Amino acid sequence: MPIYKETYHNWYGRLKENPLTWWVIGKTGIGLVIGKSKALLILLFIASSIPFFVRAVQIYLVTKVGDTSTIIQGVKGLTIDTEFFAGFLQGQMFFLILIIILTGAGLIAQERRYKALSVYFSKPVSFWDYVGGKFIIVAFYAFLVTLLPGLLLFIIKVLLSTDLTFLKTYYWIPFAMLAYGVISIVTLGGLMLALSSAAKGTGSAAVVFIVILMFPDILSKILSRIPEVGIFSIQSSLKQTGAFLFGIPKPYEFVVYGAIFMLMGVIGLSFVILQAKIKPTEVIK
Amino acid sequence: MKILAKNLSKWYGPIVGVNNLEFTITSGVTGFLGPNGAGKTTLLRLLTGQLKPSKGSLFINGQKIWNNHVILEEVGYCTELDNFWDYLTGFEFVSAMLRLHGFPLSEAKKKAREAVETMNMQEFQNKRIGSYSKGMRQRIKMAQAIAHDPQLLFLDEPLNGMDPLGRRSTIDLIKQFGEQGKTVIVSSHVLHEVEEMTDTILLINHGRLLAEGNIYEIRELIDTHPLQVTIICDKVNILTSQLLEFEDVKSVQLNREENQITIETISPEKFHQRLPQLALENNIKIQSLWSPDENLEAVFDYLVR
Repeated sequence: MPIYKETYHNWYGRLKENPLTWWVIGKTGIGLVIGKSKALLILLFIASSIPFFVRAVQIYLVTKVGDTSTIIQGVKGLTIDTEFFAGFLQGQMFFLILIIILTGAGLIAQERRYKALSVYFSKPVSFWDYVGGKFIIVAFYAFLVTLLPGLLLFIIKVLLSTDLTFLKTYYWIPFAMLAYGVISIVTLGGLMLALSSAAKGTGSAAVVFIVILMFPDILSKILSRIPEVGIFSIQSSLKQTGAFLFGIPKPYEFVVYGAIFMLMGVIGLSFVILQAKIKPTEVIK
Repeated sequence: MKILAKNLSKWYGPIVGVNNLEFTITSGVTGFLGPNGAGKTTLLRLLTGQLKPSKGSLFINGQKIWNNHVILEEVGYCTELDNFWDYLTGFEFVSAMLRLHGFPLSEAKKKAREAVETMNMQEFQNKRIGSYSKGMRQRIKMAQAIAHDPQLLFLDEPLNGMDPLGRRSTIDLIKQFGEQGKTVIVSSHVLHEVEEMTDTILLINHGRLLAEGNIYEIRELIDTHPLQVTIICDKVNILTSQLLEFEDVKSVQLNREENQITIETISPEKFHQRLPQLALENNIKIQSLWSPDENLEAVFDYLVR
């Protein structure tokens, strides 16, 4: 039996900040999402890749066969320009919404339900690490259905082109895609996480998310005589902002800055909700 | 590591969780006691940086705990809650928790394996937590709390749901941590289990600190309840008559059939000093001597109930 000194046991270790905690949370979560919803994810990815393959074939035909093509009706006269890429990204919005619901609705809701936040926050994990990690999970899957195929289409076009004319003319398209993709993912992903943190379960978070997206959209269609109402629709605001970023004709009559302001508001509100709801312990008064 | 609380208070609206606590906890095992609703969990949450003090402050090694997640590098916390991450296996859970401490994957796996072994969970480590019994969940929570070899351990009802063997090995493990110089705080309402782990306690009730320190020293300070001493000897009649002459002896109960007497003294120290002399002078053979109310149960009873 050893004899221990009766004085204080001093600890001379050094505390260190771990700058990659958010990445650990994100990486682990990405794997867990696959484990939990493998079949649905595969189905969604297959569905979301159909427009990509269609566009890739269109690029091939237009670039390689050109105007002489009579193989597919409609290919003749199709040009691969900004509207082509903007149209593709905007078309992927449906899949973006679905993937965000599938991956994000339960991310925080389930952990709050299980009261697992206190386990996280008893570790050297800050609010930013936690939210950042959760956002990475949603953003990763959202990237796979929007930006990745969009950027791949651009690369395919560049590789199939015989000269650098296309690249010299449209070199900025990847940046526009990146900006549009980031704005869409941050707005919708942030909103989903905020709702997940505020909701009591995955289902209710998903339903509220759909209602928030659909209701103003329907309202703006009913009140089409007042174009400004469209600002309150997140999807319309995203489309308007996208058109602005790609420099193509605006689909709606309301001002672009109004749309950008609206999206910033959604991001800000989501952040406020996250800050209010993500606490290590729930205090029942 | 040293924990220091200064004027620590936490209230939830009009409800006081803990009230003006002042204490110091150093290395070794400290039992954290109190009846339900005493404020134990609030205090543990304050100590693990999960709640912000309403008033006063808390320090670990001189560093404030609130909003200082870096200090949690050296903290292990076994929460009382056990409904979490049912879809992970025990091993995945422990290694994921280690990754949050910044360990690279290979090291996290190695340490997780060690912690799982320490808690005797090897057989079940690859099964989902959802299929675990309460005792298994408790052990896997303990594994994640100790896996990163923290200097400071907070264990909230760590023996809940464990089988007798699990309890025994966990108690031994906790004692071992204390002997190694780690600071271990065990919150429990099972008094005899706490007593097996440590003599040092922090007793709270209604959010207030009732007593802090060694159980036996605290017992001696409780002067409203004289200390009981039971003696089994061969000449109970003589001893009884002799003891009744002492001023500090308040009562004597005699049980002739078992040759046993139980006295109540308001000055245990004086009593224990005089007893050997008395036995010598009267040629009394004392077979055994113990204090039935010099234990945690009695201290808890006298101070709380």
